[in-house]
Amino acid sequence: MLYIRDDYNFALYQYTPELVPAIAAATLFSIGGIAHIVFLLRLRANYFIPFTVGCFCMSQFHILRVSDHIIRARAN
Amino acid sequence: MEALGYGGRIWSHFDTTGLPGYIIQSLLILISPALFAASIYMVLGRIVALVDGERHSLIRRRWLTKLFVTGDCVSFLVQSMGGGIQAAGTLELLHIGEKIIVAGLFIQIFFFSIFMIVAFAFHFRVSKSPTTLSALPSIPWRSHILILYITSGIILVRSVFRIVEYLMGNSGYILAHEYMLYIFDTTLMLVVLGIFLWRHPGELFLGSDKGTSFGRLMNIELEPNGTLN
Repeated sequence: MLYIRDDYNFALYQYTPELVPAIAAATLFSIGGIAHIVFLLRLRANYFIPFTVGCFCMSQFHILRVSDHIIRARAN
Repeated sequence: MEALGYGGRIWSHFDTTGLPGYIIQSLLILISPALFAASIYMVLGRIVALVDGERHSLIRRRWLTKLFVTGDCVSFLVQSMGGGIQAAGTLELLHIGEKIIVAGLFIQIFFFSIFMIVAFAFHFRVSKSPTTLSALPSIPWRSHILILYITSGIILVRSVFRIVEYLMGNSGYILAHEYMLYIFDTTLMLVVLGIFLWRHPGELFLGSDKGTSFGRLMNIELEPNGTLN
């Protein structure tokens, strides 16, 4: 599917992501997302479903940075 | 739970090659503001319906949500297309992808600007000639429309930041410094999340029967002193 040349190393960023802010952000977005699920159900606010999904996307984004940190740290 | 399982799957990918992880990372960071925006757009349509102010809206309520959510989807699709092309493997495609992502971000900014104009025009026109429902103290729609300005403004700042990031290129300052991401992306998005926890738009629509202005009107007729429920 994806063809990647050997001499080309695609990376979103050229540094090793910091661990602590990534964990903090992932935690905050998860807690915020769960709080929004509670509001969603209590206020029957279906129009806030996309927003709540967005919170978990942001959380997942930072979780990936945590794993990227661990993998890069292991490689070095 | 699902997110955790998905995370685990991504993790297992990571050990072999970094690329799928990067694609998913960039998709996540592109999709989140688009999802935030979709909810913000829908709240305006509901406020218009709530105060029965469709005649004050520049765009008819039926089209309001459809137009903005469609624009949102187009912006997201263009951006993810650019992201996909970027990851395809050559330097040339990387630059083409960059340009497509910037185009997608401009689409997002365009729709957000139109949205803010429509919201402001509605706010202004209802203030000049209030509807029966907009004058009720039990419907604090003004503070909620103010929150829509603030949150969409914050997401607009973030989109501008993204454009600058892409225009500065792969070796640019923003992409090379992680703290820039935390200031202009993580923090801004967390602030929006927090604002909507502090004042959730849902509290506006709870007092009415099934959230319709008809329900509100029926309540007024029953209680002429203007208190609902």
